[in-house]
Amino acid sequence: MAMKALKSVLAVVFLALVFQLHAGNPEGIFETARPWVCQVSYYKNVATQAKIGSYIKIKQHRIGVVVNPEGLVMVSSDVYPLSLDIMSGGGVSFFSGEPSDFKVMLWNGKEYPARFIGKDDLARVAFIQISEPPDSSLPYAAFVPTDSVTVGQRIYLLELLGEGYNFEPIFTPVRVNAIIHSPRKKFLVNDMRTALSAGGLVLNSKGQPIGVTLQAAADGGGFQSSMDFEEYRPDYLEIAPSEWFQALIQHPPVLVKTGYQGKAWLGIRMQALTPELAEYWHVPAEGGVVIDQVFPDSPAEKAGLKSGDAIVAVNNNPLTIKRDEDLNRFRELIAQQKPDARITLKLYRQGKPLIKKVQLRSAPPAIDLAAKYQLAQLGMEVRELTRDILYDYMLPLDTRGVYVYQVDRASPAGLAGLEIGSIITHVNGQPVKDLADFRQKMEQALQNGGKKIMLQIQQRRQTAFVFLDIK
Amino acid sequence: MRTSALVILITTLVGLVHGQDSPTTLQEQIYQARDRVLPALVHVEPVKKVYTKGEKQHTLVTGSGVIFSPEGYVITNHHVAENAEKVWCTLSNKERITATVVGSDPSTDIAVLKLNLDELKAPEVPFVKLGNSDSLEVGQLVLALGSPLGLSRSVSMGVISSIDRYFPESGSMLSPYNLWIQTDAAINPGNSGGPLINLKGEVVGINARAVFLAENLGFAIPINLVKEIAQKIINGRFVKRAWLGLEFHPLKDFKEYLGDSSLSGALVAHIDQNSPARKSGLAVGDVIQKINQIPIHAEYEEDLPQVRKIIADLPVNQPAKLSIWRQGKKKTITVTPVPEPFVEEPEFEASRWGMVVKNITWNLYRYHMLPDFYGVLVTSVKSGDLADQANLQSGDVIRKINGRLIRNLSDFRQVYFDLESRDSEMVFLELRRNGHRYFTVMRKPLTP
Repeated sequence: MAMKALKSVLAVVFLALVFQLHAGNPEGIFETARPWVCQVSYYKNVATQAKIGSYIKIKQHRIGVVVNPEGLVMVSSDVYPLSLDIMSGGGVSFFSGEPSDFKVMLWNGKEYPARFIGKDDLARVAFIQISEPPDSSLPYAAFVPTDSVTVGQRIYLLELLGEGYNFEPIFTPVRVNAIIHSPRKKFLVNDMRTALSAGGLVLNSKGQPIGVTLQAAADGGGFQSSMDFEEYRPDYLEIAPSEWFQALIQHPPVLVKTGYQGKAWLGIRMQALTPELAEYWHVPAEGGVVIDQVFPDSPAEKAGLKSGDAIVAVNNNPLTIKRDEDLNRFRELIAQQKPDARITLKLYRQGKPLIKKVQLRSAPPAIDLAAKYQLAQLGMEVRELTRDILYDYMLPLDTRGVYVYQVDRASPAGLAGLEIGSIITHVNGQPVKDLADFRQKMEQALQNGGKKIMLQIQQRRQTAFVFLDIK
Repeated sequence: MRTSALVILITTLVGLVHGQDSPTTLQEQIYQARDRVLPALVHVEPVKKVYTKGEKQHTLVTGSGVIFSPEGYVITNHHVAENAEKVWCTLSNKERITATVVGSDPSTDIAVLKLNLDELKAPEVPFVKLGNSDSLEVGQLVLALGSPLGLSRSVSMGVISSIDRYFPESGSMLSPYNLWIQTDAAINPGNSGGPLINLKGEVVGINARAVFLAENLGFAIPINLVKEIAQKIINGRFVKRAWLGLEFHPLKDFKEYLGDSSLSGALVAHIDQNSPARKSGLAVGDVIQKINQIPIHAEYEEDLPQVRKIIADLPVNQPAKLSIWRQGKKKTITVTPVPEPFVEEPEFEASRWGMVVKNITWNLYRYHMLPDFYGVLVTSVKSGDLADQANLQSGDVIRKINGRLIRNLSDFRQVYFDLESRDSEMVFLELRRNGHRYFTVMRKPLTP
């Protein structure tokens, strides 16, 4: 009994010693953490302008972090540039196809094929799975919370060098130079060199994983005016704390092409509640969000929100947004909710306070993920019409047709004047119901062997005819 | 092309050498034509009001013009006369007098000036006869007169390269109602508004456009259209046009699609949501074959300006009968044209707010997907002033001010002067920015 107690005390002492050793010993930390990072290679597929449906493959390398013993690897979300839902807004991706041929090379030089699982644009991480991991369980990084991380603390960066250095690991002791709390917690490190690649592993002074490096770019991406850009000079290396993605490691987002579950969505177009607007509307608040437009069939519409409403608090937390530049804070606040969450909004309508309960919903999928139909011989790619397009063009939701996603300039479609962004509403005078219907009508029209196919299109509010020469 | 140019060159040389022998040599004809028109040529220098970043500035530009009546009426281009606060005209005898802008039509790029003849030393002004542009032929010799790059009283020569050049509505080549005469006679900036003449000394076109970085590509407005528009301007300052809200596609494609070569008319491609045509029951895909018994033919895109003009010339608020073909069946549809919804007026400077506004145009109406024709466009914002502080940007469309609908520039002016005469501190604006609604508030400083 006494012996057993002694043993366990000894074990505790020993464990403590090991950690003590690590704490003061960067070499040990590096040795322990080295197997947790891996090299991820894949091909970026860039659509050529030469032919619809053909892509140029460009090999890319990223650093990955093994996050479970079964071979789940976390990488920066920039490996998958397409927008998933209408909220994430991945940017213009007309020429970007899906990444392919993922491979993971572990610390021991062994390479494994892997497949893409999913990504989260808010956490800025993506997950890939080693298809056939080795039988023995893999060493992996078990992330810990970052509550105890303070400014001045020693932390370690474990990254990979570039191709010129054969992707050897590089280990850098640094200190936390700043902690940013708004809109989201982030650590900054003085860092004059460019980050090797986003997704590098960050360890605390005990050698425990606490976060990953971000690409030295403005948060949220998108367009930034030059003045705002000043605040995001890449002199600092940004570190995403484990809280951003810890839950995702347990339940990685899964990309399902049909029926994608988007982030929580409210369904409004908005602007900041400036002090002037607050004064004019007699809104006693330190900031907020003014609704410009309520999208039809959205949670906001169902809850009875209206254009001109000023939202000043979400779940009793007051908003402090006074500039349009800070609107991302509100977007993130909503996106962080569970997709089926019920939230309470405090708002002002014509100077009177109102409380509105809103049942959120998943954001509808974006055009990037929509089902596609490529007509290589005519030089066009069309997609199922998605809500983001209808909202953007302010078209009724029962608008039927297909969306022109890509056109080759020197093809029959290009020569006839078909343009990207148009909606094809009729083929040979017959209304188009959806993508399958369009496909059927086009195949039929091509078989019929006439001289021309007549498409009726809609560009914003304008209708027009496009005659495809199929002689 | 090369050969014919060479032939002309040789002929010219022959003319030079043997000019005296025969009165009908090319050289003689050129001299005669020149002598008929050059005295009536005007070097036009408008002092223009322009706004850069909300700041009013004046610039002096150069254009050309030609006197076409003993009263001293001068034809020039709209883009020469627009925004002119003062117009200086130098006549061929180098006498410099002022002129007033009688009126101007942006759709055809034609403007009429009137010389202030009381400033003139001579008792009367020389003027030219306006010719007939319907009898022009490709390859016909022409002279361009004007002030290229400000070099006054210049003459250049070439041939007519094309008589039916069509420009689809895009950028500055906006000319919905006419085709253009293309010529290889040298035309440069400053030639704008100057006459293109035949060898009889008749004005057959008004030079208006050159192509940047291109050579020997000049464009002139046919004089028959100029005569008509100039008369309308003299009668009523503005050219008023009827509007149905239709856009057409050349019928040729549709005929090929149908495999029916006998069909004629104009294929309706778009019907504006706020138009008389929308209410009339006309449908996209209809072929209009007659308008008030006038046969309509729009086989090629070059035919479209003529069809647009027939519609623009319809009497407003009087029912018009359209004979249409709809999927093989003939129908008659009655539609009542209304006046064209957008009128171009000079910009208005709301100086106390630090911004400049003007009436909206078709392109803005379409771009912003406006539900109606109302609003004014912010063209310029003065840095640091009220509008700028309220984050107004050029390109914004103002739809409402303090809840009052701003239909056009005169509504804006009225609200502006109204608010300026009162002490209300806050000006609340409802805008369209990039097609979407946006609110902002201008805080006026308290008047001391």
